[in-house]
Amino acid sequence: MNFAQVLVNSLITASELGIIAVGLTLTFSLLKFANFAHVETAVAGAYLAWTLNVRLGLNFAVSIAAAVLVMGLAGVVIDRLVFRIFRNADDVAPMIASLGLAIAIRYSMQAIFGPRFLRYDFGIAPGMRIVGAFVTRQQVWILGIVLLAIVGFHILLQYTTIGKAMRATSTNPELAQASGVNTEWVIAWVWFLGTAFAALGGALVAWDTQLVPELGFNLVIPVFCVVLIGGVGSVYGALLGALVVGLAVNFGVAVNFAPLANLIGGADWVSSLRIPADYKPAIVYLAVVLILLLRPSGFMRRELA
Amino acid sequence: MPILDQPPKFGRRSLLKLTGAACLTTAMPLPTVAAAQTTEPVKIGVIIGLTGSAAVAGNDSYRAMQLGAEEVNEAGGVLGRPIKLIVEDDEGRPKSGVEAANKLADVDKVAACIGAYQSSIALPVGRLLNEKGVVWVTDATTNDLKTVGPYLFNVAGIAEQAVALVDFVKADKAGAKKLTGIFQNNPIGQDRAKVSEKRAKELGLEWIPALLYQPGATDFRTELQQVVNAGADAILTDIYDSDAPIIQRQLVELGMGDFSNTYSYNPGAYGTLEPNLIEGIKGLNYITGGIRAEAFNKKFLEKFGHIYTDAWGGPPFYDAVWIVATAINLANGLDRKKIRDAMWPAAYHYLGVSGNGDKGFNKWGMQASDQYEKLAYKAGKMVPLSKGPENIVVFRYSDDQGTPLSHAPSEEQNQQLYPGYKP
Amino acid sequence: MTALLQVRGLHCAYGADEIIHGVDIEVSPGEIVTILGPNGCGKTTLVKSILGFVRATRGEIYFRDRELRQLRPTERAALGIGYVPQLLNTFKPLTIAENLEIGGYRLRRSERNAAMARMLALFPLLAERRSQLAGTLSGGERQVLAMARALIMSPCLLFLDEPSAGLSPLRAHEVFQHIRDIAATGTAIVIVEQDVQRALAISNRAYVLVTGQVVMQGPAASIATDERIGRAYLGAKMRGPVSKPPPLTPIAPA
Repeated sequence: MNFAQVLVNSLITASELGIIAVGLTLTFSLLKFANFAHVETAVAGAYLAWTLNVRLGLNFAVSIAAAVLVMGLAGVVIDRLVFRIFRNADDVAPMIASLGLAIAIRYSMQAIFGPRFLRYDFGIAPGMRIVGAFVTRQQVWILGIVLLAIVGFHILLQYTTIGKAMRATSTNPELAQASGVNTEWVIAWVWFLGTAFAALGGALVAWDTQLVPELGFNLVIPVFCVVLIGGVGSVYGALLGALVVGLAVNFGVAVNFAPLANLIGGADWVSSLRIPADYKPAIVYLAVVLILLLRPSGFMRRELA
Repeated sequence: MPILDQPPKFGRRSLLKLTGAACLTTAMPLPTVAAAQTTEPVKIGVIIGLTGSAAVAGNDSYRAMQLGAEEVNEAGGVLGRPIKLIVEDDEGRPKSGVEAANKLADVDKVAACIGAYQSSIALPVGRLLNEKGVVWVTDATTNDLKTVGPYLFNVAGIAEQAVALVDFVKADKAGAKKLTGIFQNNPIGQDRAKVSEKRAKELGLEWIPALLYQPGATDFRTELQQVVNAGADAILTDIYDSDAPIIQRQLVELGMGDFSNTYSYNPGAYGTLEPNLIEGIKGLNYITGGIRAEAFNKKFLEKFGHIYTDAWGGPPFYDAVWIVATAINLANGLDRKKIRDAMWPAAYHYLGVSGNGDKGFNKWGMQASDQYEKLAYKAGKMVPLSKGPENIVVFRYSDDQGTPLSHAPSEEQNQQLYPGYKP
Repeated sequence: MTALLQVRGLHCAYGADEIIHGVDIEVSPGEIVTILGPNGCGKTTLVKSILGFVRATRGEIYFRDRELRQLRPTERAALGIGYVPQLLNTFKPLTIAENLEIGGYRLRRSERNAAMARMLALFPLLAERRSQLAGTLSGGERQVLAMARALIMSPCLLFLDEPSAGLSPLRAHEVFQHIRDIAATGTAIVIVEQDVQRALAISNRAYVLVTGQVVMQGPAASIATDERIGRAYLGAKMRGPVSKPPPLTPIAPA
């Protein structure tokens, strides 16, 4: 096992899942429902960035920034049109609405962009070698952008008035309203940021890999697992959860468990014992089960803190 | 007032009585509903991946079927009626395929069904349509297909192809001792792994457990490194067209871009990729040859503006439409069992555009022989490994499975072939 | 003196269940009013409907001569109505300073800073621990923080729901001391309280609410000594100063 390489792979998986999961958990923390359309907005953001960059010839960075901004605003509009009417309902109605929305977005993407895979216009070449690991230029960028986004979000959440209002509203919406906080405005901000993060994550995944309409289908389970591990509604928990999932799936398939098995068995009865790669999704579930057994509500408390 | 100034008035009811009486008196049968519908098209169901993991091949396959249907109709159709394809998207997912089969069989009441480029869909759909007694023609290739039932037919490729690829590797790469593979984690991938391992061991080669990757995922880095660094001298692959770009990209980015030891069951899947992602990949490709194939390619290009990317995803389905149409005519009606039994003579006497053109079915309803070509990617293009006849690999089952039948097996034979089958 | 808050014929409901059946209440500037009643009589519902959290189905709510029923809770708060709910009265994962900041959310930055400084001076306990999380405070400290958070906007009317709930007698005493101090600055206060004696001791007037209706109202001192109230509605033994109370105004149930 090339430790450095597996670590790099884990970090990339973690950063891509993490940025999408942060957006999901953010909307959950305020609105207390699981938004299944979240990962589909990530895919929509990736398609939008692709359209701006490849079809309309805009600069790549500008395309990503514009897509993130537009999708953020789209998130606010979606809330007004779809989710606002459920504000005082239980959590099942908006969840079902989000499932419908997810299907609508996925099939719209498919209808507009076709079933074929798309790629941003960058050549593919071997990565740079950094301490024995191959790392591509875009992966370095992705790690940097995700780090920057997370730090920026942390600052916004901890030090700005709107960030404090988000945290206050997430813990005690009634008291926030009684304090004069315009919670609808705060919710609009949460949708903007949540969907913008989704779009950023989607664009980065597509940049690092490729863009197909089913991308959301393959992201939805890992992203929800990340959120579960971190503690539903906890932004910092989601980052931790992403790291756990990233490390678990990559080291899970890379590690040779034979020495461990021999230790337990007391003899050299096996030379190679690996988890087959087709069990990768199972590793994610296993991580969720183990962590929820140890900490039934995930790593962090379910509030924006 | 002259009596004939106005025509006599009849109500609808009295008109009906009148015709009824007329029929009675002349002993003519009343016009029946069936007779009134004689120009209604005969429906043929299509289940194919227009979206999903094999969408490129799926769309080309559907185009080929449309071409076939058009030609059948130009030639006079079946039973004096035109045929009409009713297409359902399987989305590359077995569940969608099965739902589509249910709908086509029960709601549309199709005469037969054609489709499924992927074995993962061909198998469950085949099981369902056999229960319902609807002819199901696919070009997927996995050993399990033949055991499904007498309503399942295969018009391309045979599972022994897996054996031939291992043989090809041994002949092509002198001194190769260890083999491994990268296959989809689905029935066909698992079947490939099993057959390849068995054949490798028969030839005295070592087999390292294959990577069964998760179709549709976006991150294969760690598992690709595992399989490439496992020390195999050759890697056998079967990767569908939507997974190929990302797998090849990640191999290149991780410094594993030397593909001279990669051998593919399905090299057509790499057809649309940049040269540096595929240079040196070798494989066995299903080929269509001969003058009929040339004519088909020309028609396809004229009609759709491009040529299909994968010989599996097109020509066999064109043949399937013609064989089904011929079978319906031979059955002289829409009795599904009669259509099934007519499939054998229809295929036996038909010369196709796919493979070597011989579409005859063996007792299992599988094509008895087929042909492949040894290929390699050079500068982004798939080229034959050599020019001579040694480049063509013809498969034929060694036992009586290699014999095409001109007539359907009897029901007694079917019961022996398929233990669970009830006529 | 015109009333600060006037509630007339208020009905409110949770879904289909009507909880408040036609209540009239008045609060004048600077006075302390206690709403008494047994558990489940609708005290908290009444307060929440005045604040806008529970839908009022009929009746009028006037605050400084403005009809509130069409306004959202945020807008009502902005008019100068403060609220300290029972128990969940702080933002636990936020620091003390952040809790106060949220209290002054609608103020401009400079005004907010000034108001925060004023509150920290008023409650030295909070000043010492301004960067401590509210969730780590004791119940009494949280009550103090909650009042400070509500006062930062200088409301003219403050609702306190069970301010002594879960507190030791000593802490409760301190909290009531603070309430008296706040009222002294001119803020009218409405207290919903189970600790009847303590609340009445600092109140000017009181309403007795039973199953969603006001059954009695009058000066706090009179109610404190009225035997009927203790027996019939509050289930508590009434003690207290036996002075000459002014006459009560009993209200026949509607």
